[in-house]
Amino acid sequence: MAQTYRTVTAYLAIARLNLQDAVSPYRYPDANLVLALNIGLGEMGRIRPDMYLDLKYQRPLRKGDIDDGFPPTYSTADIALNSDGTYDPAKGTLVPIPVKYASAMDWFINGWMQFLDVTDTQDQRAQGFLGKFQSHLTTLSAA
Amino acid sequence: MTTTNMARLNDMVRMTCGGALDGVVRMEMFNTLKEWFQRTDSWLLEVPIYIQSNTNDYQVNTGQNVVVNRLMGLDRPSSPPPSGEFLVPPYLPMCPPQYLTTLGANVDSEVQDPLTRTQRVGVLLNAGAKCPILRIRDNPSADEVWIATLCLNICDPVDSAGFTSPPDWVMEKYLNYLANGVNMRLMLQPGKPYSSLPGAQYHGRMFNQGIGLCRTEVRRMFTYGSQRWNFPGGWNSWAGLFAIGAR
Repeated sequence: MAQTYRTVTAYLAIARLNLQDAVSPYRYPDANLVLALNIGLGEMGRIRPDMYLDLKYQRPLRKGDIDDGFPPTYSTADIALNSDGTYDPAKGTLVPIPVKYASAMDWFINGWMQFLDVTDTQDQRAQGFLGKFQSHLTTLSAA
Repeated sequence: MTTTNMARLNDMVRMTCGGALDGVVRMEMFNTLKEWFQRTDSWLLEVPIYIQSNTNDYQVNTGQNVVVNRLMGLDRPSSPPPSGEFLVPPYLPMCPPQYLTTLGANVDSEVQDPLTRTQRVGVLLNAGAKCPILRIRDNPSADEVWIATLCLNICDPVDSAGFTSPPDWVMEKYLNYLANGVNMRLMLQPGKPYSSLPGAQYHGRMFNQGIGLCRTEVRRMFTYGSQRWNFPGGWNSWAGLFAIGAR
């Protein structure tokens, strides 16, 4: 299969790295990060409905298949932890976002979490991140 | 099995439409090939039809994963292969099989040569199906073998990687034009990194140019100088395989 996916755990680990919240006790709870991921999946499906159809058309289409590929809602149960309580990014539930667009989701999670800290500076930062998310999905030039 | 040309086509489109997902590329490859064969009538298949005296309706089985798009010709060979002699029709070595061979039967029968065939009249009742119904007009009231020339198109299910299996020679000969078609469709999608109206217009023009070229070449059976050459008028109406699209 010409596609690799990240796990829920990997998304959270990368988000914590970007948010400088990688050491327990965490500033942002796991549940909030997973919530941001779930909201981001909805946004991604709105902007790029083809995102979740990628695998569907790399296989024979089954008769009567009307699945739009939209992933389920994730919870903290989808996170895999090591015995010492740290994240194990290689394990956990896979999120069906093609790897070339995975970083767009990073921008969304970071941006959405920044909105939780309501000060003017962070609002601008959050808006910038969410703008990155959108432009990454719709233009080639976004990094 | 995915052919080299299919993989090459996939890669050509990947590079032109940066950011396109493989699944979407393959979906548009399917749509492009569907339009290509619909408009060019380039995928032909000869099928023997075993005519019986008690019915005018025959279900045509192609034996391939295809849909039948049109009936291009229905003929009775001058020396038809004996009815019921071959269960597996003898095809020329093409992938997939397309034309019946003259080998094995009476060499004078010239099964392949349309000039020695007598045209018959029939219609397809449900073109677009995998096994459409052929209804003939005049029943010879005897067991005969006729040859239906069908125009085919791709259909589901695709192979395990999401690719179709069109004729090798079409992919080899018109690969660039097919890539243009896929690019056009992808670039027309709104709000994507690869969306581009000028790009779609350019690739659309090239795709249409390829369709025109293919249609003409197939109609004139790849004869040299076919763009400026025609059969004399008297032959045009029933010149058989040589003008198969012109009937």
